[in-house]
Amino acid sequence: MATVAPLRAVLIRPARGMVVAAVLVGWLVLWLILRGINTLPLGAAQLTDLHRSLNQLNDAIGASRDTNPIFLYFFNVIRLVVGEFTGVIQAIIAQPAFGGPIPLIGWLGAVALFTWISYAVANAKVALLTAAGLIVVGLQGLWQESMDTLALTLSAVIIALLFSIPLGIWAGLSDRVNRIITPVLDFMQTMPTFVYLAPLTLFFLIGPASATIATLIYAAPPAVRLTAHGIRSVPHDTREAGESLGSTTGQTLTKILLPSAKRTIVLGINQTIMAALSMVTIAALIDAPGLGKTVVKALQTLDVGTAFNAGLAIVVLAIVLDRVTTAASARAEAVRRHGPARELFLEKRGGKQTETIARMELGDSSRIKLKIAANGAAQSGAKDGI
Amino acid sequence: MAAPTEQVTGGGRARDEGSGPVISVRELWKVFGTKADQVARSAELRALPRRELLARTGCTAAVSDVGFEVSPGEVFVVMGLSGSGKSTLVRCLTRLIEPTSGEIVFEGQDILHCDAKQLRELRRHKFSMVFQHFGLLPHRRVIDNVAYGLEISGTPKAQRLKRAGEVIDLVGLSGYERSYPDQLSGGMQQRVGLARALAGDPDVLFFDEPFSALDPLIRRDMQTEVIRLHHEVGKTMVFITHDLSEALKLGDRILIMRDGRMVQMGTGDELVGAPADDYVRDFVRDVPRANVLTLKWIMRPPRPEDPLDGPELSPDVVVREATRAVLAADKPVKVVSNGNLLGMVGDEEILAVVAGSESGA
Repeated sequence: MATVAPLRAVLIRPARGMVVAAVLVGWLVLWLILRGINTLPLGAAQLTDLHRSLNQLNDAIGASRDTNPIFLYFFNVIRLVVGEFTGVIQAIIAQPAFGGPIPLIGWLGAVALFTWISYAVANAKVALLTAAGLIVVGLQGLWQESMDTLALTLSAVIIALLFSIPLGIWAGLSDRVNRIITPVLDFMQTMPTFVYLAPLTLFFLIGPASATIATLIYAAPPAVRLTAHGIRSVPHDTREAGESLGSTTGQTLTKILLPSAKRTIVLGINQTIMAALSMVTIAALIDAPGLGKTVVKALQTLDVGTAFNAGLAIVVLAIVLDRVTTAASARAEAVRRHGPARELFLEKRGGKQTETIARMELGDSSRIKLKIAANGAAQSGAKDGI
Repeated sequence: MAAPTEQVTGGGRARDEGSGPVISVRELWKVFGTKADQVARSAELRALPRRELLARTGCTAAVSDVGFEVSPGEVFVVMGLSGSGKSTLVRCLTRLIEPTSGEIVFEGQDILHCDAKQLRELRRHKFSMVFQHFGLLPHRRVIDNVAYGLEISGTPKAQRLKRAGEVIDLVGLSGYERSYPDQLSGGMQQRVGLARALAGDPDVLFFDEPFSALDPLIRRDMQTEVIRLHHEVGKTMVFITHDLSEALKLGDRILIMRDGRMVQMGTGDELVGAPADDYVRDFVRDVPRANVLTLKWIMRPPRPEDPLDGPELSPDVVVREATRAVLAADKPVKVVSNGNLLGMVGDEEILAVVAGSESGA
C-alpha cells in the first residue's frame, strides 16, 4: 500500500501533460493531412454525401412505410394510437362535432366545465382565473386554436405521465435504473427541440401524432426526475420504520413512499404540463394544430398583430394551467395542515365527530365527483373514437 | 431513580427462570464492502483491527464477532460511541441490514434463514423498533400512524383503531389521536413511535437511540416512561444508546462496543466496579459511583478484630441506599448473603465512594 500510492501519483502526474501534448500533436498531424478537404463552405445547391444518404434513407422509408414490418408493427402503430388518442381529446374539447357532450353546450359550456374542474382540484380563486382566462381566449376569436393546443398538451401530458411516473418510481427505488436513465433524461432535455423534429417526421410523418410524440419526449423528463426525487427524499428512518413493521414492498410504496412524495410528484406534473405547452407551440412546425400554427403563419407574413394575439392566448393558457396545478398541489398540503387544526378547535366545542366526518365526506365526494367527470369524459371520448 | 430500576430488574429476573433466551446471537459479522464475504470467511482477515482491514481490503467491519443472549423480560443495552457499530448491530437483529455471517436465533427460530414472508410475519407480530428520528408518516394522523402495523397485516379497521387508541392511552397521548406528527413536539412524536411499536403487541422491542434527538428534560421523562412501560407490559427490550447514564438507568445488562467489537458485557455495577480496559474505565469515570456500585464492590474482607454484632445488609444494596445505615451504625456493617458473611463495610469504605464520586462529578 505504502509503495503503491506514490507510484500511482508518479504515473498520473506526467500522464496529464502527455495527454495534452498528444492531443496537440494529433491535431497538427490531422491538420496537415486533411487541410483543405471537406472544410470549405458548400455552394447554394451543393449536397454532401451525408445529405444525400440521409435523403435516400428518407425516400426509402417513405417507400416502405406500409410494407416494412418495423414500421407496420411498431412506428405506424404508435402513430395510430397516439393520433387516435389526440383526436379523441381534440374531439372532446376542441372540435364542435355532434356526439360529444361538450361541443353541444358550446364554448361557454366548455369554459364552465374547466372552471368547475379548477374549483374541484384547486380553489375558487383559481377557478375564477380559469374562467377569465378562457373567456379572454374565446373573445379573441382563438377558441378553436386554443382548444387544439390544449388538447395536444393534455394528450401529450397524459401519455407522458403514463410512462414517466412509473419510470420515476422505478428510478426512485433503484440506484441502477437511476444511473441509467439520468443521462437519457439529460439528453432528452438538453437536445434543442428543433433538432429532433426532423427525425421524428421521418418515423411518424407530420401532423398531430408526431407533434404529440415530440411534445411528450420533451415534457416527460421533469415528471420522471421529480417523481424519483420525491421517492428518494423520503427520510430513511420513515422507510425503515415501515419495513421494520413488516410492510411488503408494495405496501411500502403505496402507503409510505408515494403519499410522502405526493407533493413533489404533483410538482413534476406541473413542470411536465408547462414543458408540454411550450413544445406544442413549437410543434406547429411539423403541422401541429393550434395556436402555434397561427403564430408561425402570422410571422411568415409579418402579421405581427395576429402573432401577438395568438402569443397572448398561449401565455394565458400557460398561466391558467400553471396556477391550477400549483394550487392543486398546495391544496393537498393545506388540507393536511389546516384540517386537523380546525378539528382541534371544533373538538373544544364538542362537535368533533360530526364535523370531522363531514369534512372527510366533503373531501372524498369532491374527489369522487372528479373521478366521475374524468370517467364521463373518457367514455364520451371512447364513443367519439369509435 | 434507583427504585424503579430495581423493580424492573426484579421483574426481569423473575421471568428468567425456566425459559431460554429470547434472542441469542453468535459470531455475528457485518462487513460493508465488495469483499465482505471474503472477510467473514477468512480467519486471518477477521482478526485484523478495523483500520488495517480497511487498508487491506477496502471493507469496513461494522460488527465484528458479536455474541450475546437476551433473556425474556430483560432490558439489554448496547452502548458505544458513534461508529461503534451499535446501530448496525440492532438492524442486523431485525435484518433491516443483512448480516454478513453469524447466527441470530429468535425464540428458537434462526432469523438469518427466514424467507421474506417469515421475516415479515416476525416483524409484524414478534418484534418492533423505535427509531432515533421517529420515522413517523407525516401524512397520517397519530392514530393512523400507530395503527399502521396492524393495517398492513390486515387487521379490520374498527379493531385496529381500538387497539391504537389503547396504546396511545398507554403512552400518555390521549387527546392527540387526530393530530398530525408535525403538530407534536419531539418527545410526543417519540411517544407515537413507541405506541406504534407497541401496537402489534410484540415480544421484543428494539430501540435505536430513541431519545438522542430529544432535549435533556424530555429525555429523562421518556426514560422514566420506558421504565414504566417495561414495568407495565414487561416486554423484552434491546436498547441502543451512546449515553452511559441512560444505559445504567435502563439496562439490566450492558454491552459496550468499540469499533464493532464487544469490549465488555455485564451489569451496570460490574462495568463501574471492574472495567475491562481503559476504554470502559474512561467511559465510566464520570458516573456517580455511589448510585451504581453495590456493597459487594466496596466491602473489605472481614478482619478478626471486627465486631460481628453490627447490622446486616445484602451485597446487592446500592451504596447510596446503604450510606445512611452504615454511617448511622456505630459498628461496621456486615454484608451477608444466604447467611454467609461475605465482607464488612465501614464508614471508610462508604466515604471513599461517596466522596470520590462527588469529586468526580
